[in-house]
Amino acid sequence: MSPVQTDPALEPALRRNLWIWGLVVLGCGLAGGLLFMWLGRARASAAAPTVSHVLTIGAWAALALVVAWMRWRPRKAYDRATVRARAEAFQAKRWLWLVMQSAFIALLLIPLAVWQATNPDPSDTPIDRLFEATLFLGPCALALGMMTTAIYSREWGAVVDDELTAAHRASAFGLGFVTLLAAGAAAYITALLRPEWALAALPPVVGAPVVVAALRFALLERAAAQGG
Amino acid sequence: MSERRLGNRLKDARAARGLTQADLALAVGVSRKTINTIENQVFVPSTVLALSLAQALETTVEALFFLGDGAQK
Repeated sequence: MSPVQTDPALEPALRRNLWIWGLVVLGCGLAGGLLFMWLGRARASAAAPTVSHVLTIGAWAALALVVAWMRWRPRKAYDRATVRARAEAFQAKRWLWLVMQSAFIALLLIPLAVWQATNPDPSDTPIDRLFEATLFLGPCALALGMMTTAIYSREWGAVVDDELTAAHRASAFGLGFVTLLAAGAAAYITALLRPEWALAALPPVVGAPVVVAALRFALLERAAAQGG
Repeated sequence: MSERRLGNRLKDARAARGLTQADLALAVGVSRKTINTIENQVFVPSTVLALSLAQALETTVEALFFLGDGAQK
């Protein structure tokens, strides 16, 4: 059996600026920790939730506008080779984004969502609860979007969602589905034994399949980028 | 019964025409990573992609791909 050949042209993109990615991970962790603390304190004051809600709305609205612009902007003549090169470079690093996002969801957002579910503030309005749900569900949807063509422009979609990517996605989603069944069964049993934990069991049921699918997809993409 | 694998001569055919993986990827509309994994016999392409590759390299699918034994790679 001949050894698998690594494409030398792909390696620089994988190894470049790893320290920057380290800083990004650190920054995400720090931002998440601050957010967690902020939300805790926000319950004690009336003004802070309003600010956090406005910031949350702004961030997600801006993201939605960027995605909408990328997907539906009027098509102009463009340098196909340049667009392709950028998309290829992004594709080579996408697995790293997904690993970081999975860690963010698994280590911070799921515990945060469980904490929010088990510590309801009587003064919360339905809008407050929806915002808390958005904090958890938004990143989960973003992780799923990164594995599909949902968040990419049409030009990028052809590169970052080709036949190999579709095969990786099918494998990842298959494992995610099995995780969903297992997490759902565990939540069902938990709710039977301890009904008061039923709500707390729901965030892991939603988040665990996303994390597992994203990690599986990321590892497959990484292996493919390194030559198989 | 031994498992049969799909072998290919894609790398040789591509090199014979002086194409890079990126050139071939652009010609058939996939990423360079896909071409790379096909050449390394990690990914089995669909019939449509196999035909597109043969068309881009001005050869036949049979000349590019062959069935080998599991031990062969």
